[in-house]
Amino acid sequence: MPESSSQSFPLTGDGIHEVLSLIESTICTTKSETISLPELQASVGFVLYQWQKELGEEQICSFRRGKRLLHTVITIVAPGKKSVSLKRMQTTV
Amino acid sequence: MITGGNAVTTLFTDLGISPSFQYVNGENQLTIMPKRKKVNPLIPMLIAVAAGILAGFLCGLLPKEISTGLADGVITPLFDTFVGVLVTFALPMMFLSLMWGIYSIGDLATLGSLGKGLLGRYIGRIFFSLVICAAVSALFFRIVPTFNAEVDNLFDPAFSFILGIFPSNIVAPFSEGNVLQVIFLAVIFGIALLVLNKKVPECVKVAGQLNSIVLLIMEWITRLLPVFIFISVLNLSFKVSWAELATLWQLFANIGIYAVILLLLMLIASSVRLKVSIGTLIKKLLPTSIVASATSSSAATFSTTLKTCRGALGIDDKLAFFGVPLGIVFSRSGVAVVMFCTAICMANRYGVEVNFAWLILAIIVTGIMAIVVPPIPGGVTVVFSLLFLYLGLPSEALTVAIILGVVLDFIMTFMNMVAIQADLAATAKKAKMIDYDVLRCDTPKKNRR
Repeated sequence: MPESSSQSFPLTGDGIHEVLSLIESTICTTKSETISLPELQASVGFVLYQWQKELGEEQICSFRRGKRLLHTVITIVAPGKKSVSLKRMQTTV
Repeated sequence: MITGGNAVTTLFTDLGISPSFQYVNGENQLTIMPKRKKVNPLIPMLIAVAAGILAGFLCGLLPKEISTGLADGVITPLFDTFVGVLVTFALPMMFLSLMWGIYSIGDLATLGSLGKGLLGRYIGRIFFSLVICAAVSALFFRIVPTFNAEVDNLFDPAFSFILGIFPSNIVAPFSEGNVLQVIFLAVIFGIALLVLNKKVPECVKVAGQLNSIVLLIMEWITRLLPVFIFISVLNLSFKVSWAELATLWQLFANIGIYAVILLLLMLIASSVRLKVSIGTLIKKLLPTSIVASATSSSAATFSTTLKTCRGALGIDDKLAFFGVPLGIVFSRSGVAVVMFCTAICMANRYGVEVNFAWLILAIIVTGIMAIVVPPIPGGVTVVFSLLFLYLGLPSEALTVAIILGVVLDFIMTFMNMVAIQADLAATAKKAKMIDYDVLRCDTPKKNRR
C-alpha cells in the first residue's frame, strides 16, 4: 500500500461503504494499535451519513491517507457548506 | 444508539482516537490518527529497574561526599516530588473513581451486596494472612506456650481508627492526604448521587466528566513510571547498604517465606475458583506486581491495577472502579504480614516473651493498624512506633523497623495489590461481573482504559 494516497467517492451508501473498507484496510496494513474496527466504522459512518443528509448523495468526497510525524493520518474531506453536525461536534472535541 | 455529536466523539475517545473536525476552504474535514502500536509496558519498566541497580552500584563507587550530595540534593528530592505528584492526583482520582464507581453500580441493593462482600474479603484476607503467619512463626521463633498477658486497653486503637474516618471539614481530607476520610466522602457522595440520580443530572454529568479528566491525567503520569521506578531503585540503593541488609537476613528470609506461602495460597485459591491456570494468572498479574514492587506506591500502581482488572482479568468496569480504590485502603495483607513479622522478629531479638496471648494481641493490633498505614512509600514507619508500644517492644527496635519499613515497602505494596486483584476477581465471579473470555485469554483485551 502506498505511503500516501487519495481516492474519491460519492456520498452514496456504496461510497460510504467503500470508505469504511478503506479505513479497515488502512488500520490492518499500517502499524496501528489493534482497535475495535466495528466501533471505528460506526463512528465514521455516522459522520458520513450526517454529511450525506446535509450535502446530498451526489456530493463527491475524498479519502486521503498519509503520514504525519510517522503517524498514519486518515482524512475524509467533503466540499460544500459547513456541516451542522460538524459544527456541533467541533464544540465537543 | 448514536444520537449526536457527543456520542460520536465519546466513541472515538473510547477507541483512543482523538478526531479533528474542521471546516477549511469550503471543505468539511474529518481527520483521524490511529495510535501506533505500543511497546510492551513491561520492557521499559524492567529496563528502569536494571538501570536503577546499575546506577546505584556506580554511585556507590563515587567518593562519599559526592554520592551523599547526589542522594540528598538530587535523588531523594526528585523521588519525593514524584511521590507528591502521584499523591496529588491519586487522592482526587480515588475520590472520583470510587464515587463514580458507586454511582455506576446503578442501584442501592447491588452497592450493599458488593460493598459488604468486597470489604469482607479485603479485611478477612488481612486476618487470614496474620493467622497463617502466626502459625508459620512457630517454626522460626521462640513461642512460649502460655497465656500470661499484660494487655493494654485494646479498644483505644480501634475506637481512634473509627473516629478517624470522619473528617472535620470537607477540605481537610484532601489537604491532609487522609485517604480514609477521602474514601468516606467518596462513599457518601457516591450514595447520594445514586439515590438522587435523575434529580441531579448536571451533578452526575460533572462527576463523570471530572472522573474522565483525572483518569486521563493519571494515564499521562503513568507514562513517566519508568523514570519513577529508576529513581525509586536508585534512592533505595542510597538509603541502605548491603552490610546493613545482611544483618537482617533472618527477617528477610521469614518475610520471603510468608510472602511465598501466602501468594501460593492466593494463586491456588484464585486458580481453582476462577478455573484459570496459575501460569495465566501470574502472567496477568505481572505488570501490577512489577509496578508495585518497583514503586512501592499503591497510588502509582492504581492505574495499572485498574487496567489489569478491566483489561486482563475481565472484571466489570463498575466493579473495578468501585473495588480498586476501596482495596487500596482496605486490602493491606502485605502491610500486616511485614508488620507482624518485624514485631515477632524484634521480640525475639530483644528478649520479649512471645506467648499465645502476645500472638493474639499482635494479630488484632497489627490487623487494625495495617488498615491505617498511609498508602505511600514508607507509610508503615508512621505506625511502627504505635505497634511496638502496644506489643511491649523496646524503642531501640524501632530504628531497625523504620529501615525495614522503607526496604520492605515493595513487598507490602506488591502483596496488597496482588490481593486486591485476587479478591476483586473472586467478588466479580460471585456477582457474575466477570468476562471469562477475557480472563482465560492470554493476550490482554485492548483499548480498555
